[in-house]
Amino acid sequence: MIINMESINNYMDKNGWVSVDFMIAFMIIILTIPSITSIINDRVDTANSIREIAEAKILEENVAGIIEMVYSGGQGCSYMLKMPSKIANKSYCLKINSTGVYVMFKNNIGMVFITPMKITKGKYYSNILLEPNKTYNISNIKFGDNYNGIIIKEI
Amino acid sequence: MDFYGQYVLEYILILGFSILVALSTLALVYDINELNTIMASARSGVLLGSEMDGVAIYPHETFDDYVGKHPRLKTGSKITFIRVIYEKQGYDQVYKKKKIKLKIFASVKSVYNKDDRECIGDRINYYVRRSICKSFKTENLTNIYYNPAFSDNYFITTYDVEWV
Repeated sequence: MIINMESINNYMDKNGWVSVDFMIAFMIIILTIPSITSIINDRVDTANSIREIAEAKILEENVAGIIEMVYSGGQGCSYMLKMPSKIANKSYCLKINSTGVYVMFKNNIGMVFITPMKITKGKYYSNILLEPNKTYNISNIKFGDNYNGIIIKEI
Repeated sequence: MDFYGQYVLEYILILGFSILVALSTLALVYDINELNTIMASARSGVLLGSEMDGVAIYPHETFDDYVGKHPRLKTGSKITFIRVIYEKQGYDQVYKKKKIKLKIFASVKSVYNKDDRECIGDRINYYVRRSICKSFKTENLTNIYYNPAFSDNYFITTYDVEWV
């Protein structure tokens, strides 16, 4: 019995095969993915929003911590603070007064309390705005006979 | 024999039966899938709302309001999410959708004032409804408070958050 292997090989090379259960499983996956996509998108947006507000909070906590550190360091203590250019690729503004540190970010505002103290950028009490990408000198100076305070000046 | 395959009759019967069952339950599966998406979106919303309260960063108008009336909320509060459930409330004739009402169970140990807790709960509910609208792209169908929220076949409102 002679078997023509060449024709068999040619035949096998020209025809593939598809499994029906593979097609059903693939169809189920295709139908499931769009429903999961909306949930995934929502979770990613939530994670990004949380990251942004957390970065804003970290910045204001850091600045408040620096001010407390300089104040508790006594007269002559100072710190050079360089503000980041953006928070989560978005612009922001920081305001400091004697009640606390306020961050203004994406039309939102948050605050951190600080020890009540005199904070100024000049001769008088004032609201001090710290702008992105600028450097400030925060120093502890004596204002009167028996009290110290913080003066913040842009370098 | 090498050129021909064969089909097993039992396999064809089972396959046909499976396809019939799948087609007949398609509507139910679609409905359950929508409810799953609503609940998953609600959980995302609770996460974001409780995080906003946790770091105490709010919109300007809200912050100014809190300075006078709810000073406690100017500092963060640790909120623990417990669970979210839904209640079916029939078919709404006005919106021509099925109505469900979500209830969120959460815990906050550092806020004792009832009005402060209500503010926190309102924020969580707002983000829950917003998350649902964003998932189903129905922001244009509702108001600025996303109340009520809409999905493809449901109209969603929320109970006040239950504090445990």
